[in-house]
Amino acid sequence: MNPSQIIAVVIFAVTMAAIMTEKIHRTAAAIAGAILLILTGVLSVESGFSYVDGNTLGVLIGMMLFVTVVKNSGIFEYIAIRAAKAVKGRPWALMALFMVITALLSAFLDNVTTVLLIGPMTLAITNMLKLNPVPFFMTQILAANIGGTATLIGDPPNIMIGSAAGLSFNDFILSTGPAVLLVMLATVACFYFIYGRKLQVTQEAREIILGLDETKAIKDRPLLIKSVVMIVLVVLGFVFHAQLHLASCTIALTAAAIMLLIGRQDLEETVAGVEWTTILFFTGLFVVVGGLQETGVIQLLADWLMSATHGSLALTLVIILWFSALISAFLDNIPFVATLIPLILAMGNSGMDIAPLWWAVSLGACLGGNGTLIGASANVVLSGISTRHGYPITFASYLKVGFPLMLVSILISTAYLLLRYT
Amino acid sequence: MSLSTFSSDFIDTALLQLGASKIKVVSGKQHVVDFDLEGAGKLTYVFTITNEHRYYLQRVRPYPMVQGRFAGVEEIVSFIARDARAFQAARQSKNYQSFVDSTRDALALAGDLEQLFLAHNVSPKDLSALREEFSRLRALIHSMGDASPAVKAPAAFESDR
Repeated sequence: MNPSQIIAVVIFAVTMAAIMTEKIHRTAAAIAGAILLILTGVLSVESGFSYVDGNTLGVLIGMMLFVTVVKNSGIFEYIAIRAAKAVKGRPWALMALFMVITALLSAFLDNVTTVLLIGPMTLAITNMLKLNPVPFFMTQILAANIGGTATLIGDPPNIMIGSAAGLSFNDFILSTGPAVLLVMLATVACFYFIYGRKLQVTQEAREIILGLDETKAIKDRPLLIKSVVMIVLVVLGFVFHAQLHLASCTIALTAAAIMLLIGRQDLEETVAGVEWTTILFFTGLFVVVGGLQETGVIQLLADWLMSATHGSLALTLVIILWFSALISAFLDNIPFVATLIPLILAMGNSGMDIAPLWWAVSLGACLGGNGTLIGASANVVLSGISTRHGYPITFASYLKVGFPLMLVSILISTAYLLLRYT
Repeated sequence: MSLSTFSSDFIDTALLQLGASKIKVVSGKQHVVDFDLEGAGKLTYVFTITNEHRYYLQRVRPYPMVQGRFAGVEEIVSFIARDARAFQAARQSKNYQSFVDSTRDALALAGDLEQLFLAHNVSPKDLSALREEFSRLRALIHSMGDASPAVKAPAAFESDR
């Protein structure tokens, strides 16, 4: 390896260690890593910025702005109360329905946003039913990560993969969607045996749920109507974005712009609702990984991987799927996927059919996050909230449920990928 | 969205179900909550959720009263629920406006006392005389409470929403 490659690898390793150990804020680590690459001459400012994926940032910013406005209408609380009343407060039906709602929301919003939207209503309703909310939170954590795997915009790794590989919203639906559906069915079934059979509530508690008024959850009726219309248009926009020759970020940012104009919400508050630390984190991370690409380290890794697998698609699929899953179960999947993307592109440049590998990365990185409490941001966020409200979810208690279910999901994904692509 | 969004949303949803007519959120941390007291104006609370997940509540209308720090979201919701129901029961009384005016007078009195002490060098004898008057007034209020029938607050806040 030449000096530039060594510097790039060292800066990458130090940055990743800082991110993984959480000794410093991950955004600070990523930005510092990016600046170091520029200061050491590995990258110029121009070449550094060339590695920043604007499409990924655009989707993230656009959807964050969109949700921040839509949320003010009360639509998510309305949906949750309607759902609770539809199942008449029956606990297992409620748990299953909230899982489905979480997965569907997560297919279009990032997982943390999803659990922050559904979480408060879950706590409120389980309090009314005098149920422990922990099983509900556990099911929603897994459902959020599973649902987000199904679409281009459901999880940041998918946004990054779709952007780099030129994959459309429909490509994801048709490729990871079937696997996600199978995983979801299996997970719901497993949760029935783990939690569902034991849930009991009194008739009195169920009457309280039936007495809720979902119309009171609506904070802004005109905004609710606008939101419903825009949500339909956004979904259609993503479904047809390839045919419209529009990048996914264009759809997201257009939706955001329209909601900012017609939503009549405080603009400063709305813009403040974007997680700018996350945006900066992605920016820095792209540059750090770009240092490995610029110096040829990625190509070296790709050549090694292809030689290790003798170019076998099946073996490479399985290795990437399981490696992605196990890494994602313990470490943040975003830096890992950010590194894997140029690696797979390099393998493609060397002549390998890499189309199925994208699905292996997507399924592994997204579903692997269910493995441990620290596997995904949604897990950390919702378990932290649960603990703060008096319902602790420990690493061990999560592991006993999450890790086996993650293994089930990866086994299903392995069978799916091998049957479909080899 | 942040972790404090969760607590905000929980409280807002619960308060809307209780009958709050409007909730305005300022900077994602301060919530201004209105309940309509039919024919008697509004009941307004302001609660704040800090970054360290501490909860502070005060009532600002019909008169300001700091309620202090609360341990969690359920406590804030419970307090506001009880308080709103009590005020809704109180507004049925023909003396409601007199009661509000009296309380505002008491708060104005506190303001006058503050101005007196901060702007003047008041003698200990005068301060002692004031304290005696206040003790007599408090004893009068307690004796009125003992002599008057208790009021039962309604089971739920009735709203027109």
